[in-house]
Amino acid sequence: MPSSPRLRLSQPFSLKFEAIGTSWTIEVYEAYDRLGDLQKSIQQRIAAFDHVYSRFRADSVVAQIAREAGNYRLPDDAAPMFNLYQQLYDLTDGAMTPLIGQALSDAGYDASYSLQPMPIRSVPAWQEVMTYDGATLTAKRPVLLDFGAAGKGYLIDLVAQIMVQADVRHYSIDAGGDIVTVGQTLNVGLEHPDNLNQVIGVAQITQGSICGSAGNRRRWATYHHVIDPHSLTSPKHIKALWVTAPTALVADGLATALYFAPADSLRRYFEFEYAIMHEDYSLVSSPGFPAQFFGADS
Amino acid sequence: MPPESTSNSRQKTMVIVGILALIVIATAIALYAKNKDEVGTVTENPAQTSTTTESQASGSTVEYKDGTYSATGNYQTPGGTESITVKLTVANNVVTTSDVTTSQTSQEAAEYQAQFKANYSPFVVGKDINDITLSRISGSSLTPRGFNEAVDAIKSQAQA
Repeated sequence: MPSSPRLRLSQPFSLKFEAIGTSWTIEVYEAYDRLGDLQKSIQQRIAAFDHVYSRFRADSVVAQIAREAGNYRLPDDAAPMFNLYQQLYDLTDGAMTPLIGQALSDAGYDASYSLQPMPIRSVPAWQEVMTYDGATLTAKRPVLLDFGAAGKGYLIDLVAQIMVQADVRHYSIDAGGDIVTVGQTLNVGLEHPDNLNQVIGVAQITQGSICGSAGNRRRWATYHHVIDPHSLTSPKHIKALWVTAPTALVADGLATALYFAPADSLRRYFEFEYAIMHEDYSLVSSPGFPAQFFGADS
Repeated sequence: MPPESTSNSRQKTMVIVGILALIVIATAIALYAKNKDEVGTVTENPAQTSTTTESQASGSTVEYKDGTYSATGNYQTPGGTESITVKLTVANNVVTTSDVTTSQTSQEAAEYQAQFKANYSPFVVGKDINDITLSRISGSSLTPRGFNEAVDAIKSQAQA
């Protein structure tokens, strides 16, 4: 990889840690003398987010909403994420929904990772059980919310905001394969869902986000991390998919929405590129998806 | 999606099933050849093939022997018997080329098979990550330790 002329460190500064159930790697590609403060701000930001939105900890706001109906004043950062969920809920006929939390938990993906499937209760319609007015969430009855579809991408964007506030100009943030890079070209291998030692292509990203989704990890019994609220099963028609978009919130959200809605319909509302590997290993990608794939002609 | 007549979609499904079965067969030949030190060609009726591959995600790599593998499958249509051949070339444990060739006796079959090839090509293949310069990997999100431990615990319970 050609090194940036601004790159003054022989090795990028790299911060690695585990948070919100995945591995993070944050790299800074320029000389920066406040790395200690930066690291502290990042970890505080992630902790604050987790404390509100995690369904895996009993002291979160989400856990409280699962116990009690009522009005919950959410932090200001909630609005962009809720708005995206609301929009994708509508565009997927309710298939992509934060109300999938109870179904995931019933299927065994619960706070204690029991992975023991129980009968899945039906998933309620959004308007029947809750409203969100841009600040306050009103739960008409206790509901278990799950922000696994877009929450991690959104948190990556929030960490990117910390980098900007700290005047870092060249960096990348990788949370378990969902990535934002700013000012540094990354060659991102697109993991073969059947063979973790292989990739099916390489995407080149310089600015913006790439997020992926596949059913090969977080898999148990007959389920993976995406459950269709209508059929109460995990979709099998897609083996893996990737989305590039200006923000990780949009890329991550669409990486789930594409299980439920055709790309063309979503492209009327969002600026993104995509690649979908189907269960028969056929690949469909948008013309602008910035990757080279390994196929019959390579 | 535009509505399709039942026979159209059934025929389309048969073609897809046929090709999937052929890929399974070609892979099986590759594995067989690894053990037997030979390259094989096989002709089978995919409709009678009940083999399925359910690959487990794991760190281990299956070893394939270099060579070209092909399998031909036949399927019945209202217009008679049609066939499709799938060819894979394996080099250094990686599928380097894959090709689907068709032979049709009816115009209708030719159209469906052309449509299949247009819609279902290319089939992607994997390359070893050690052979490529990568900054990062993207796929399904890495799992937390607790999740993996739970999966392991269930597996060992199942064996007990």
